[in-house]
Amino acid sequence: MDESLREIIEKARTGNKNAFATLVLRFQNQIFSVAYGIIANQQDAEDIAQETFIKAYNSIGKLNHVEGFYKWLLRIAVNTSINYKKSSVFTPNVPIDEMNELVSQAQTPEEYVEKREGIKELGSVLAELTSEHRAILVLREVQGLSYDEIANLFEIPLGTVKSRINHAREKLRQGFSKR
Amino acid sequence: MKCSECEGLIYDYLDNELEFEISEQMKLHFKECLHCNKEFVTMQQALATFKYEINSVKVGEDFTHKVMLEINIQEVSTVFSYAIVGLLGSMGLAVIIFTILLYPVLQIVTKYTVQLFTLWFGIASALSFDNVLLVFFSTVLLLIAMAMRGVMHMEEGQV
Repeated sequence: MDESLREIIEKARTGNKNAFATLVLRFQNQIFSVAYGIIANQQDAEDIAQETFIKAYNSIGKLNHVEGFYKWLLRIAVNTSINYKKSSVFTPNVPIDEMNELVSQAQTPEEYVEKREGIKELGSVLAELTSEHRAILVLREVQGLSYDEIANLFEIPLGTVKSRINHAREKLRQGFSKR
Repeated sequence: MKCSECEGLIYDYLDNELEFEISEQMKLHFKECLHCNKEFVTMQQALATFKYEINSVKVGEDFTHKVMLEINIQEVSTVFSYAIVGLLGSMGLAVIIFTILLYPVLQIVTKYTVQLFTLWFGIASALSFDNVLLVFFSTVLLLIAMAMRGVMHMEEGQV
């Protein structure tokens, strides 16, 4: 962890809002991608990311080790996403208008169609996995965490992490090979 | 290496967790076996696509602003709710102290109030319904007249 980040986290721990806003800006897309990977719905994922940062702000004073800030933030994001998915608020399907919003970032019509199809397929593949499987897959494949780090984060045995990630990968491969 | 062995080790190979020798055997097997090679390539492509599609969607530009605004709103509402709780608590405490200090007076007031109502119910039960109404409206009119008299006296005093 670089010195400037450590300094920002220390400031945020003392209640400095500007420092916390800097942290939000720095980690917003990582936290969003974790939530999006678990939920597969942009609007819900953004709400979860927002809730994650609010929870983090309210309890950052209790954070013991500055070095563990990002892992701690990831843990909040994963737990919030899993709880959100289990709650009645969650809407399992991606609405079309939301999908349009998602694919609006595409530059060309071909890219638009490709992206739209990709999101649709990703959603259907992910729908076959449990939240825990999705969370582990995202942490491993998108966030690049090691098996040990994931096991510590979820407080589960290493073997369980490996079997879950391999199950998720297999589902993903099966979904992809149907394309 | 057999295909079944290769399939069992494919994830460890992806994670670079195999010993050098076994890893080399896997590479060789992928060159020789079209089926396993295809499985491996599909897996790599699936993971790459998953990663790309997750990372291709970003939060809105005003995300940080929205988070900080929500934090400020929550802080204000927390302060407000503490103030409400404090105010209600103080009022409750004041009522308890007031009751303890004025207990003898309240006892007398309660006693005479009960007596007044007992008297009224006694009269009302002894009379017919029309007479009850007559007594009630007469009392109301008497009270209004007394109040008006008081007001007129006050006005005269002011003049």
